[in-house]
Amino acid sequence: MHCKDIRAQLNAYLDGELDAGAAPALEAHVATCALCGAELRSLRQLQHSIRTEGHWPLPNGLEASLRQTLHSAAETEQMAQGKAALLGDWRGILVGLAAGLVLGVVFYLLLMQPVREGNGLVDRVVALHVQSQLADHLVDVASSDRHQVKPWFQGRVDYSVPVHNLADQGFPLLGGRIDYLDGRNVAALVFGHRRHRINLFVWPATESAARIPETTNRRGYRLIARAAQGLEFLAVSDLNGEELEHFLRLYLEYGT
Amino acid sequence: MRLKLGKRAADAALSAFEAQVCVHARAAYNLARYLMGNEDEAKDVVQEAFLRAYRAFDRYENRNALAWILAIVRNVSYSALQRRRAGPDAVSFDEQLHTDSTIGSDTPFVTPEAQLDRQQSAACLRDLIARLPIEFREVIVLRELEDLSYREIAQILAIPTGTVMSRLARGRSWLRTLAADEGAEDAL
Repeated sequence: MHCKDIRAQLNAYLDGELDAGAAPALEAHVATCALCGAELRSLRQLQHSIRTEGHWPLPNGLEASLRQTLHSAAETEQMAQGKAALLGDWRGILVGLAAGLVLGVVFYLLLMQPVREGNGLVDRVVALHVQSQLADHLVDVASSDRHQVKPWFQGRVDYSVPVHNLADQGFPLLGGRIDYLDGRNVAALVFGHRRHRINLFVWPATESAARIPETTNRRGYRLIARAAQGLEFLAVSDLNGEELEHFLRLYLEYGT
Repeated sequence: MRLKLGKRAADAALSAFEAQVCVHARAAYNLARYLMGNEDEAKDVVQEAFLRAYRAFDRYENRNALAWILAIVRNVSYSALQRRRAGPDAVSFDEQLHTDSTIGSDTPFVTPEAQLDRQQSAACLRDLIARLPIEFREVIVLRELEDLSYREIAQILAIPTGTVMSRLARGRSWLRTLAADEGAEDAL
């Protein structure tokens, strides 16, 4: 190999972006060619210097003022949303009165309501998931033993919660919790996957369950809903979609 | 009832945003500081970028929060630079480069000598990076300081990965030339 070809690859090699197949030839050349070897060392030295000394320190107070900005933006948004919601309701009522059509009412009841409540439910589930991580209130019963978690739910919810530990498949059971969701107490099971957390909410399937879309993305979190065994399963996590799908499939197919 | 739910959802949104995006404030400031060339404008850019990100957070599905916020920081910086060029008193000289942050001229002797050496060499190195043309400067910052891959950088800059590599190579060799011209090799 010519030095010219090697030089063209040195940066990619330094950045770990060179094809694995091309690396051995480069390493062999650099080991024997003094000039190319010196060039690589010089690039490494530069990289090291930039990485250790190139960062601008965060100015004092910037993080605090950032937080301040975001909190006031959130408040403003809430107020705007509150107004919009009221306006929306008035318009709905006026249209309903003016038209006086049963169809309108039926349409409203059948279509608008589920969408709104479905969204409310999605927001609530995301909120519970976030809270469970932030407030250190991940579990009420901390155990990876399904024989301990399953009985714990008895007497706390009026249905039988299937509990499996998927530790062998990379999703260890961390524990369980009771949350208030959709007007009732529901069981929440918590699983880990690498450094991520999964909350799996389980409650009896009802008509209302159809309101949740099968997959939803909300603020960087993903929700996947499935009905099975007469129950509604809703998994939420910041894992990517495939992994969360994989988890839920493993869980539902467990023991079958 | 709905208002209550709205409040809780908004709080959750803010918490989620803080947990996923605000953790990258340091990286965001670092990029803004290098693109804008001074502390004040960099701070403004960071504020605006996070506000924009927060407002777009409902539609955010990207898994890579760091690359996402850095792309927004870059957009906001470029708009600010354009406004600055169009402005009446165009400032091209980086006045603050030598005065702000770690080596305030009024505090050189209170720190131990070794620490001072290190700070001076860091300031000198940042000075060298600041003198690179912006298209080389930004790839160096994204690659070395934020540790992004060629692909992530290519996405943020909307250029091919091959171009990322060639800009990095040119930027690095440029930096070494600048250091040699300054007799500042020990900064590297």
